[in-house]
Amino acid sequence: MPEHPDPGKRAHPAKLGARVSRHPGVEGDASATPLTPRRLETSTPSYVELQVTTNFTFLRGGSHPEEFAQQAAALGHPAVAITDLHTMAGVVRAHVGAKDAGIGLVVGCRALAEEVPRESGSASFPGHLATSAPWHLLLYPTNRPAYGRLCRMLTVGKRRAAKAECRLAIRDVEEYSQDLLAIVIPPEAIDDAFRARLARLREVFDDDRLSLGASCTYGEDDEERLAALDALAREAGIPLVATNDVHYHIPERRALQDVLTCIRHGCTIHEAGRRLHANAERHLKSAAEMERLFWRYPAALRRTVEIAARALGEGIKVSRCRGVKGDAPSTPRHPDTSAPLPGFSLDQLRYEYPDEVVPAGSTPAEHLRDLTWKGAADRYPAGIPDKVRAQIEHELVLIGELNYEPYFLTVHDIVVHARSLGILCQGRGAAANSAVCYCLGVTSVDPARIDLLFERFISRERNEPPDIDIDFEHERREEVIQYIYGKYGRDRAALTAEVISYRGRSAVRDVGKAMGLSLDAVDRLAKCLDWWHMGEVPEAQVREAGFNPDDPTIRAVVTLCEELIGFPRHLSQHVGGFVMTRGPLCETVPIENAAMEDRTVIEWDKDDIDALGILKVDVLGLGMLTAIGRCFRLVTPRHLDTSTPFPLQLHTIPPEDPRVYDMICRADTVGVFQIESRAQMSMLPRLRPRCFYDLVIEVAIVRPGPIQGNMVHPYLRRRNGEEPFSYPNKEVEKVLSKTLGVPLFQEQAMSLAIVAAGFTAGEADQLRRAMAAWKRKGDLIFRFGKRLIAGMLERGYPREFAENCFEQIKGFSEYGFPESHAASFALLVYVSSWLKCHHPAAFTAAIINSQPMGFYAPAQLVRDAKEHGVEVRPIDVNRSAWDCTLEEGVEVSRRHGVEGPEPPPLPPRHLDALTPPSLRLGMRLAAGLRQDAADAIAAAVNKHGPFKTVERLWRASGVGVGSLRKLAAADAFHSMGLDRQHALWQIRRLRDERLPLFETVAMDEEESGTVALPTIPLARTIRHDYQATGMSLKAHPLSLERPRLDAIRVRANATLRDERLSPNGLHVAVAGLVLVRQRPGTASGIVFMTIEDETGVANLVVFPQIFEKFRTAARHSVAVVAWGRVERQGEVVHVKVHRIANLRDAIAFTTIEGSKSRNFH
Amino acid sequence: MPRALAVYLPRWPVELVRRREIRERAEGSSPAASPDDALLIARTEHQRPVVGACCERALRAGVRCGMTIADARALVRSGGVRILDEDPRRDAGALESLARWGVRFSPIVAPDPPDGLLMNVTGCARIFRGENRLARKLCGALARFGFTARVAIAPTYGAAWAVARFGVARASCPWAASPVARASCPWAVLESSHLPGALDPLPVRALRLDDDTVHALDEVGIATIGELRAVASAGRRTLPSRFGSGLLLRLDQALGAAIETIQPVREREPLRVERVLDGPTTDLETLSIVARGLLDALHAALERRGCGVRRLDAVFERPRLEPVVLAVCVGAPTRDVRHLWSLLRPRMERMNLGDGVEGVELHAARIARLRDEQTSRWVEEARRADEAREIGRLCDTLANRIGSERVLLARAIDTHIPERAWELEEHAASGGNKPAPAAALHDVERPTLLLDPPESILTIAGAGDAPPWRITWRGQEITVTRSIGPERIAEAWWDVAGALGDRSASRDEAGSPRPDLGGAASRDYFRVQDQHGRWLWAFRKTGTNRWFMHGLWA
Repeated sequence: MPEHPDPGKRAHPAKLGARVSRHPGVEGDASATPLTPRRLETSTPSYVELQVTTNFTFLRGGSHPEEFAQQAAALGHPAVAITDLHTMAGVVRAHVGAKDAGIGLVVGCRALAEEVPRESGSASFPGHLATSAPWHLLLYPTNRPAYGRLCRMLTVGKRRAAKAECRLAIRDVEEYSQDLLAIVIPPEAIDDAFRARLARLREVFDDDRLSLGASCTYGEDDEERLAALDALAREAGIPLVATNDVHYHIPERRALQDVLTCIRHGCTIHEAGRRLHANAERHLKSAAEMERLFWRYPAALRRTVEIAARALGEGIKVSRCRGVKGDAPSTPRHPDTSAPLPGFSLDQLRYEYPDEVVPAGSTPAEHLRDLTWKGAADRYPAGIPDKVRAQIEHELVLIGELNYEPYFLTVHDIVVHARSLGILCQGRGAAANSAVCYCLGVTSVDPARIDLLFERFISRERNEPPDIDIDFEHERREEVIQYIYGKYGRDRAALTAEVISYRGRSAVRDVGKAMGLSLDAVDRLAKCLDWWHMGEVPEAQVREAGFNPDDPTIRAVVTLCEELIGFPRHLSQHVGGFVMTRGPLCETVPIENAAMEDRTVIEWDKDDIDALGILKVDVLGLGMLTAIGRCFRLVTPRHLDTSTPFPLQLHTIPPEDPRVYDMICRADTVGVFQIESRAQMSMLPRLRPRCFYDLVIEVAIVRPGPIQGNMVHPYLRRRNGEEPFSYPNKEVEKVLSKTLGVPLFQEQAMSLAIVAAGFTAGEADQLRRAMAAWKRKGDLIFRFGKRLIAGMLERGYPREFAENCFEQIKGFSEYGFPESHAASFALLVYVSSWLKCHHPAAFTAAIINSQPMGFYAPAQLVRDAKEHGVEVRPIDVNRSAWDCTLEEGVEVSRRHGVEGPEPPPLPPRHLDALTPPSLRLGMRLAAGLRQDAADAIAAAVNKHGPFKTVERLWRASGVGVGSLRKLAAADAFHSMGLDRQHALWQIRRLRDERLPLFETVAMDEEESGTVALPTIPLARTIRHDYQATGMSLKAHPLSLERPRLDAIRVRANATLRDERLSPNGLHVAVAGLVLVRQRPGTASGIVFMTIEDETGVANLVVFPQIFEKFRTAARHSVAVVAWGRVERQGEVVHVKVHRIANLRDAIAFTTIEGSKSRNFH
Repeated sequence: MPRALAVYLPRWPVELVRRREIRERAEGSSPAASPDDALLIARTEHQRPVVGACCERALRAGVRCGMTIADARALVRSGGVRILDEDPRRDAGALESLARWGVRFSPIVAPDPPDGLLMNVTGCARIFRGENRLARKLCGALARFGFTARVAIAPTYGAAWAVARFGVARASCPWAASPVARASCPWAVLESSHLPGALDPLPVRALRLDDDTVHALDEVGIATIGELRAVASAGRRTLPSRFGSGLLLRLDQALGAAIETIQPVREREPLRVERVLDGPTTDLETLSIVARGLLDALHAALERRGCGVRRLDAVFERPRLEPVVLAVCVGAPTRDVRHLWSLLRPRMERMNLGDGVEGVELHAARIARLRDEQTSRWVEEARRADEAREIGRLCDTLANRIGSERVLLARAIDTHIPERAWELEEHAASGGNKPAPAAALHDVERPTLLLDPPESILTIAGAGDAPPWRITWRGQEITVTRSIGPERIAEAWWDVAGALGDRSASRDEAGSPRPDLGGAASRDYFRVQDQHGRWLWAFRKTGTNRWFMHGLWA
């Protein structure tokens, strides 16, 4: 076997790691004579896998990037490369994994370049004229600029293609090829065309940077192919390099990779045939194994190490000198001081803040200081309190130490711009609730009202950017996003990605399909996965779904699903995480088009960004801010008392209003932010919040985390003085005193770990991350748990206390809520409660106008408003706008008959200023109506005054008959004296296609003698109301059934409130429309239903057995009758159901199909 | 006044399936279907499967048309549930057949898709001694087929249709509440005098209106035919401008104010041509001319219908003897006279003419629609199509000579496993499948003779994946002079999944429920040359020392 050793071009293995350098003699020995397999067994071989497809080449790679890193380290490889197809999405994970494993990571990618770039949209040729196969290359940067070029090349390819695609031409590769190493992967058939390509590539990369890849995966005749490739390499003067075209880290993943192939092709495993790999050889192999396979070509193995060394910048000294062309200055061979650092690692990515937020001639620090003190003067017109002054100073020093000024300035810039557009916004999260942020206007939570330690969010130990999320009015967020794109440009600002991973259901669905289960079977199996936990086959559930859990196919599906869960499936855009840089962002990470127009997304998600320390600002949308913004604009100064400044702003709402807290304590919170849910409402009378901090706790406590951690009841008992409590020592007291010894916030969990278990701040932060990523890496939190408990025991805490703490911390893992977020949310809770309390009409209008949001449908919001004395007026074409509006004064009585007198003008404004306004429902509530039609009608009414006939309205406004019909269905023609029936009868005659000649005739031919239409019973009218608007102002459907309900002794829901009428334990029957069905994950299958009759709502608790027994009635009924036992806990009343029936079945009730309950499962 | 009859088959799709299954069970070909299972026919609505029809048992459990399959499945919890996709074309075909069958009750019968028939029974009653008996007989006959049916006879099609579906009393749920159903009397007979009265309480839907019109009428408070009639009599002119002219037409048709006709089914004539000879003849030449002429006539008939034959029966009548029937089968439908003749003619030569043949009949026993084949623009494709057609003809010829069960076609199967890479099927069963050209079977080097199953051999070989040196096969000592390989082919783990069951023992020992999917065995194949220069194909089960001989190159 010929061999051409060339000691000059060998990489120096010592550069790659201690493990190899311990055997300095090996290389020389091995290359001195032709190698035989026998000899190699005794030597320590060295190999770096350079062709690795991870699962970020979606539906191809069968292992996670970090799994490759771990496995490579376990096999003793000094480094491993990641070469995903046209993407860098997986490299950060691999980088972190490689660091953990202590090996090098060669960053790279696989590129399929076409001869000519196809422009998007151009028709593809029929098969037999297909353009030649693409060029298949692996590319590795050797320094930071080369990495930038590679990213830019991918960005170019991605921006010219549709989402998730990349279109590269060989010209692009040539253009960006400087300082890139390339491996060309030969096609199946080696022909002259490929020889020509090799020659061309050699021109670009020359033989120094180019290699010819050869794999040995037990094909038909590997030996022959290797020999052919070797001959070709020699003929073209290009070194051969060994790869194993790795798709999974261990051979056991073959099955999963096969299934992924099936998913990719949309076929079953039985049909897949030769689209699958023939064997399981594409796994990471040990160096010994690779040497055995390539025993004739040891140089090909050495080349892997050499490439890795050059990519990592550690082999520059031994890089070959041959082939250097004097006229190629673009590839510096002899690095001098000005040349970029040799080698590339992701650690070299240095994040730089954009600098335009600082005016010229000023430093960021000066500018921030300036803005802060100016803001402080505005916030505290009466003078800055000393405490705040000190805090600002302290924070500014800390920010200065860590050079975070540009970050705060960037956030400030966005907020100021939003405010200038009149968009309500509020920051929240780690750094947001600082005095500086308050002064900058980022938040409205007065630092004087809450005591949060700044260090907890920005710590010196963790060199990591602070985290501020900014919520904007959700309907106007896009304006902010486009502002950011406009300000920084598309090449410097982009959204972060969100890696959409396989979850239980999607995994079962795809694997089941690939394994050939029928769609129906897949559905059933996916359903029973609702209750799956990772790692165990839920045999009982599988059996219940009608499968045999021992069936091999089912077991294979289950096993494969477990492996597949957590695999990335595609990249999506993060809801609002923006990354901004000083230089071009596309030289840091490739940018691709998002599914949404006008959006560009980087390939890394927020974990990746965090790992690399890149700035991110979350620009989020929050429905409640939209509602509050609308409400602020609806409230007029004459309804405000003089002490409240106008216009209303988040931070100027009068604080600590006892009437607001009274209302909250009554759980009278329909529509209010956060505390409107059933669970929150039942907590309020027990918690009885009386101050702002109580709201912060309220927001944090009624969440799955604290509930699962069993923290709610201890806290309640302690607060009510029913349970004594003490702290093990002073330090713990300091951490837990404000929540009475129960850790409720994420920050407390972290502090506790530091104070009681001796964690460092960095470790505590890792603990936080472990909590967040519990689902993905379950064992991590238990590792921390062990350390936590051990640390606490060591410091003399009782075991019970330690284990309790861990249980509670584990509870957070899923839905932990940081205090800083809770504080920002609590402010919105307070503001929305204040608005509801003092301006119920405006509040209801604003919430309805911001639908869909919150927990309640318009019907319930309207009903609640009515109960608070708001006069609610129906939709009317002559009065309503698209949105709900406020009306002053008394409504004109409804007139009947088509021709009536002109309605009198609205009463003049001399009325008592304290007369509450009425709520006029907007046309947006008419089902299916489009806003432009409503706007056209409102404009026409504005111009011509109220209309008396449908025809005139139709002609003046120019809206289509379809829209009028929808309005008529919503019964919106009353001011013309037409009820729904007659309005529809008239509209039916109109035709959109107008014939001008006949128009007048058709119109004048008014029917001689009106046709008497049948009378419609009230029940049906109400049904139509529900169908068209989801509510009826005429009567509650249940009121019509009351006599029949009385006959079967069903009581009114209102009687439940009265303890004398409904004492604890009493058996009762109640009925109502189902408003909400909810099955919280924390309640072990219990379903909570809220039903409504004409007197009020009743809360039903349905246990799983009961739910299953009366499933049809419980799950599908629009209206139900329920029999059960009253359970009172203070002011909270439930009915624990033991029987439930469809109301129609119970009393032969006519259905109310229009009403829709909201189901939350 | 004419008499119209309407049949309504409320469970038509379900009962069709049941009936088909009963037949299949009788033939022993449907082992899976259990008659006790609840049966749901699924249809897709807004991209999700919903119930299109369901059986009695599902109905009793609360299943209704239009609910999602998942909900329906949750309702029917006891016993099995079977879910079939709807097949409207099949149902429509069956309805057409049923209409043809209905001709025994009236000459004018029309299918009324999707689930009814309409008949003109004017004057037919006498034959059955009264309309009540006619209706009862019809119901009884349908019941024997296994079809639930409701029948109404009325002066108009519209009224009969309405009453058959909605009964004679108004009810929100027509089937549960109608007195007709309750009295378990599935038919009704209406005279002209009943007409407005019987229809008035029925919902407007009974007038055969589309959903939009029904909804539009409901909006203005018109729910029943009576209410519609009241509005129509007060202001007939007001209706067409609002609801279209179809509404009044339907109302008038139901009440007999407008005439309605139906398009009756016609019996299809069989494709059959015959010729009676002047006298018996044993002259094969004469018979050939006659048969050939008939074939041309049949070709013309087939062309008119756009069909080809799958089976052609040639019947030769012989005096005092059973006729000779020569059945000619082809793989793909054809009406190519020359091809058919080339198949028929040799068979005639061998038939027993007895005392002579006095009549010849050609009967297209199985026909199939013949799609016009597009001639390909591309030379290569055209050549391949020609080739396939030629092979098909060759197969037809062979099959008619030596029997179709003896003509086998190889079909390439896309798999890595060598012994499964092709499959043989009978020519007749191939249904005109194009046989696989040998080149398509594989683009990898495979032996010309494959031993199935592989034969166990003894070898002396190196460790790992080293090739064998010495082989003992069928008692022969083979010295390996050259070897190429190994080519590693892993077995199908998904089939081995069946073998996972075997591993349940080891699973229990290990206490781990994880099936080892990656561990499916592989084979390392070697192409080896023996001392005589012969190339053999041997493999080792990877990780073992078990060797097998799998093939050789001729």
